[in-house]
Amino acid sequence: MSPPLISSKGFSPSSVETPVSALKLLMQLAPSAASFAPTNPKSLPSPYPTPAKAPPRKESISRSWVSSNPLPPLPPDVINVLGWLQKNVNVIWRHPPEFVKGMFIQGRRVIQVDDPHQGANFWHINTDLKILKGINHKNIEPLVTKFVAIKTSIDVACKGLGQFARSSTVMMLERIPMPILVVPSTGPNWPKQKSTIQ
Amino acid sequence: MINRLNIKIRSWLSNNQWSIIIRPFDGGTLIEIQDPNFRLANPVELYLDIIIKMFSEYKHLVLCQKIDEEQWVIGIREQFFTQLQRRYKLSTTLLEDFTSLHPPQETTSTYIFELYGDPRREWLQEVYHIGGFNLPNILYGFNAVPDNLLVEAANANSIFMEWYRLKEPDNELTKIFEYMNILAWTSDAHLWFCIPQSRSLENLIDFVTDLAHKYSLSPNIQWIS
Repeated sequence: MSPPLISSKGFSPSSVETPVSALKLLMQLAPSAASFAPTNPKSLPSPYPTPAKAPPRKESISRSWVSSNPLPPLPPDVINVLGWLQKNVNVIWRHPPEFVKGMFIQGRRVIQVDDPHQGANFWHINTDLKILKGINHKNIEPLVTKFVAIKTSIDVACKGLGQFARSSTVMMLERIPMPILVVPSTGPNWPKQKSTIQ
Repeated sequence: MINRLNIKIRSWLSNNQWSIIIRPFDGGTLIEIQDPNFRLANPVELYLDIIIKMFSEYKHLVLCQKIDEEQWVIGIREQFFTQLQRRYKLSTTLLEDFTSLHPPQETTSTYIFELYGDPRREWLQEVYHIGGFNLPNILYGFNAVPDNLLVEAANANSIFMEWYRLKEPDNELTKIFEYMNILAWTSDAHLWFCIPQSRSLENLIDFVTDLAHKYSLSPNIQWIS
């Protein structure tokens, strides 16, 4: 509790010495005098209506993690995809609780992609999880090769479709000499007063 | 005949196959002991039995164990290592990598813990780990203690790593025998040995067969030329 500014015997000398206390005293004694005191401009009421605040959005852990750690784009060829997997698919349960101890064979790797070495002369998956033992040390090269082939064919097909769409519709229409271009007036996104353009 | 058939059926039903692959090369022999498929159990006990048997012919053992404190909780680092030193009279050092002679940074939680002592199960079972990395440990056995063991272990590790990363052929591994008598490592949860050509394999095969009975496994020993 702050000490009283005015004692029963008059002004308290200690309180008058400080400028902040003096300002408070002025505000108490004469409210009009307080208007001369410097004020924080942020505390002034805004002349504009306050915009309605959007409700706070609940961001899940996965969403915030993805937004803070975006994955780099997938490279197009098999070797680089494998390298990409080795760099990015690296899930280790660090500082795990004690009760998960029985789920692992000592280490805490959930899934990792490993490059070829002695004993496993191919790209493979490593895991310490007992339940995933079936996929441990399995060759992933054929799977990645198939995936890259499918992705490449989809990319080529989509690119071709896009080129066809651009060249056959828009580009061709631009090349046709048309004196008047009729624009439908009933479209939902068109303003009605511009039903025809000459 | 009926007994053999009975064992085969039982092993087939319980899926207790245990593969051991032996691959001789010019100057040595590689032995790969795979992790058995029995009820998802931890093969560390089994591996330690074999390591003790293989290293029992040598007076000294060096274990280079890779440690990630975030995966393997060891409590207070200094306390853990001091206790090991005092209890088992081991020489220990921390290194930043298998081929390095420098200590790790204070802030890092991943490093190599190198121990030197006589081959005994009591201390090995406290430190020997097989998970967390694709190459969690390298072990050497020898009789004559070299002048600078730390440097020789790093040299042997360098030779091994070149071969392990598929940069050198098998016969380059024989250079390790200039420093050490036997080499072992764990990779992808498989236990490997590299022994000189002069060493007989009969004892090992007998031992492995007995061990398979102990753990109710069906050993499948394959020779690859």
